[in-house]
Amino acid sequence: MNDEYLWDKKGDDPGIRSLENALSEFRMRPGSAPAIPPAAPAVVETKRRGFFRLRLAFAVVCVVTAAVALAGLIALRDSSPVATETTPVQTETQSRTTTEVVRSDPSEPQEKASPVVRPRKPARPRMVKTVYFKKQKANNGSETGDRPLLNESQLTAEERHAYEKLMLALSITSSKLKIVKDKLNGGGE
Amino acid sequence: MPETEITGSMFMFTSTAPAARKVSPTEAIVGRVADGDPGAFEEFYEMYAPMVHAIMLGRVRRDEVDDLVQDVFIAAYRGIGGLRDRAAAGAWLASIARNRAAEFYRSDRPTEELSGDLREGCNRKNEAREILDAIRGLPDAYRETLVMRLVEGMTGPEISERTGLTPESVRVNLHRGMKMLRARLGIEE
Repeated sequence: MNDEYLWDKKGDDPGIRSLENALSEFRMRPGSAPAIPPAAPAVVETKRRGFFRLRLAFAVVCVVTAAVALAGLIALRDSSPVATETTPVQTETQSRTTTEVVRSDPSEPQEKASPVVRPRKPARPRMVKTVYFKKQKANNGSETGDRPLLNESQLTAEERHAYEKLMLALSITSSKLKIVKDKLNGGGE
Repeated sequence: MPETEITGSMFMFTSTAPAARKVSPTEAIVGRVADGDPGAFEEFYEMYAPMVHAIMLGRVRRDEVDDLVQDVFIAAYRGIGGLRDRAAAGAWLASIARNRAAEFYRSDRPTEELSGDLREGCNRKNEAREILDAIRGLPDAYRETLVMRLVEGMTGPEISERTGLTPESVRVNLHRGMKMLRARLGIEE
């Protein structure tokens, strides 16, 4: 084997030359370079952050709504008095419904029992806030005051928007749950 | 110490200071490509396309090689702005080609190339295919160097310049690779 021919094609080596000839069909055909792709537009960092915040707010709203719905379903299923003693708000609601059920006893005359179900105005956001503070007190086991975890004055416009959306979702969910609950209670008549 | 000696030594110091590093032609082309010069990209392609083609040919099916070469150069164009050592553009491009070939292998469905008998019916083509298969069975370093030398027709110094390998390494790879190839093909020295 002629190493010099193998290195820089000086001299000759019939064996290597025959290999070159055989393999020449695989050689790259001359062609032009690929078309240069257009440059990607620069992404503004602030927009990405804002998009992330919006997505985060949406995710929080979804999670909280699902949690409230689940809690409502559990409360509806377990309508025992022990479960309703967790918060004063629920106790009050439960006492009202209990009274309504007692009034709607089928042994009583129908005239007395009929005007049981009354549509109530859903003042939901206030109720949700109250539940939130009561739960916080119960978890800590000590009084932390009525200081909310979210100080609305320190929120940015996007965060305030997300907060308002969250409150709206909670109020809608609660009102729907209330309607369902009233229907269930009224369905026993 | 006399003042003249001080100035003389200072003069000596300034005169022996290292001059500004000379920019190689490769670095200049890479710099122009990074600046978005289409003409420079053509030069860059002509300079390195045989090397990339050889790397691909040693690893993937022949009918996929041309497309993958184009992919490699598009990826290189997108990333060349972040290349720190522009003198090592060849080694960088070779690593892109190897990664792209490996990626192709992972995603590619297993297929068999048609045999020469079915497709071309020509003994010479069969022979070329057998030689290429034998080269593909060699270790990576030998395989790439031999394809560049025997298929693409590059000399040892050209292979060294494009790949960034030392001339000694290329010489050793060519010699040992050729020896192994001859053994595989049953060619006596």
